[in-house]
Amino acid sequence: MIAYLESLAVLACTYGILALAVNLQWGLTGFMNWGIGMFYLIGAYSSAIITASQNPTHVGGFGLPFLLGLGGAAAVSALVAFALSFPVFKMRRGLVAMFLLAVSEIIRIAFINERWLTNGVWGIRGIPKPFINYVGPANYNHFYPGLTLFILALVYFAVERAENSSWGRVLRSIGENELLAAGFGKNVWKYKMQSFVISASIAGIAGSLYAHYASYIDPTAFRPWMATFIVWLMVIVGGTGNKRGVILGSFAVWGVWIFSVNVANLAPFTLTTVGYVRMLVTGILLWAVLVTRPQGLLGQPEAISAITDENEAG
Amino acid sequence: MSAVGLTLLARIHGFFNVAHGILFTLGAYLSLRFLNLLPDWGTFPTFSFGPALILAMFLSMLATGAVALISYVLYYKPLLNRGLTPPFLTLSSLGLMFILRSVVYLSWGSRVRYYSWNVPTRIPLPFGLGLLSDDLFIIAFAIVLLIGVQIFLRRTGLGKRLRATTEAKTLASVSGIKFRNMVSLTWILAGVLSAAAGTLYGITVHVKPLMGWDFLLALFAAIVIGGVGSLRGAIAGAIIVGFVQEVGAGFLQNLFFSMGIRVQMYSYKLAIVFTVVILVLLTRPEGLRTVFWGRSDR
Repeated sequence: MIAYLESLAVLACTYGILALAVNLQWGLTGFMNWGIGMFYLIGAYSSAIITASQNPTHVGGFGLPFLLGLGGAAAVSALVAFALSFPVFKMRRGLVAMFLLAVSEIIRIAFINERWLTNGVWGIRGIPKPFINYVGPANYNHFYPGLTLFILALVYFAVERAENSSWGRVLRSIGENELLAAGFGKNVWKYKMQSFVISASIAGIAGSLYAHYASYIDPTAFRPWMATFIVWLMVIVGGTGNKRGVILGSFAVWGVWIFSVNVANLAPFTLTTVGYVRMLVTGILLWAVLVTRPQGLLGQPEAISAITDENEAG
Repeated sequence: MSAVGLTLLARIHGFFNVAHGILFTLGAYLSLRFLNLLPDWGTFPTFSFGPALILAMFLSMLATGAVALISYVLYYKPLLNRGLTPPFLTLSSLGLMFILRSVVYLSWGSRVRYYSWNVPTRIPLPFGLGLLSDDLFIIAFAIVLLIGVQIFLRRTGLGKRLRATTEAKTLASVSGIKFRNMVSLTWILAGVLSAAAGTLYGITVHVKPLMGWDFLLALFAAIVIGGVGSLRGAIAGAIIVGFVQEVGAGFLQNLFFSMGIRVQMYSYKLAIVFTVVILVLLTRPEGLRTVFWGRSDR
């Protein structure tokens, strides 16, 4: 039972980090990053290639330590996000989401096809478990949830500081009124690009954590459904713009997700239909949340518009 | 065709409906369902299908139009009454996509289906090209349907009212056009066109649950290339996307092969299309419609 809860906690924390990455952009500027799964995928593969031992089935295998893998995952994701930010911020808001989704599908297809790079559908095996020499294999299952929780907390406080800095305030004002921010002489594109890059590197870190936990990765784990949409569900359920809310949302959604398999054992479903029923329930859940509480469990008021509205009223 | 329906919806509601792809899938499956219900009347000479499929397609168009209307009334209306902003509406369309997709999975399973096992005749063309008889029918049918939609939108009173509503909502309501009816009509039209497109796709390729999803990304590319919100742009974009996917992939395959690079270009069709999308966005963010019809065209 404890092992069960621990594995649940590792993935919930990983999703929590992803939700924070989404929320950094969505909460501040209202930017819909549907490419979050792509950065998750890129992070996982970069980390795997950097840390795994040499293997003829895929590129790299440098056998470097975990922290370099984590840093490398963040760096590669950030680079990809930087390159993408040139076309992305030229698009209308509603279209960006679909565009990023398409790009992430293209990258996933490339990872399936290019065997020399990623070993295709057979995936990368033998990704080392970080710090296993210090902790020992016996206690390792208790250690890893702690590690992911620690990194989730680090990301939380980093994002918290960034959002409350002047940088975060500029982004918030861009989200609520882009012309106003531009009118104050802020380079809107630069701020948006920076938030995109930072959010991508956070997702890369989440990918790295997943890769080292699973110790085996292949492209099927990063389909849009499990890598992007579920994260968005967590953000919407938890509360747009509210960091504690989205972490709560990721634990709640992931808990329900895992638990629903147990419930399904009672009902007359086969294992394949469970997935379909779960899909149905998820769709209805998303709709119900949006109809009853569009701001999510814990919402966030619009800070800057509140000030300007007050000024207009007074 | 489907691009036209999606463009209309995007114009009237101001958001991109992700659930559109699943209407395409649903239309194709409903055709399959009706086809199985109808008696076998044999096939047309040289074609792989018979009158039963044509009738099934029309029934499916009606049924999918009804499904689109129902999903608008039951799913989107409460959300619109909540006053949600377009990004939230796009997110909510994900929910509808999952609901309808699970319905498709639960009713038909995940197997790939075909309307018929007959092989269509190949019609030889000059320059060593060939065309399947089925494809000829599809092209003809699509052209007829698109011309029909154009005539409906531009010549009939109802179509004019619809276009007026998508362009200036308030002005149209003031002029006595019932906004609600026009929105419902748009949804029905989107469902009907998607079902036709899905069935035609099913005739030439196959029917599977994720067909609409794969199609949606190409559809999106078509809309961006053609210029968002432009109907004729959407059609032109769709033709460009189809051309780039098939001809471009073949051309690049030969090019890379002659250079000694072994790469499976056909699995990168989507990548080729989105390279075009990026090029269009970087050079003409308005889409190519400004090239064809000038800036003011809608």
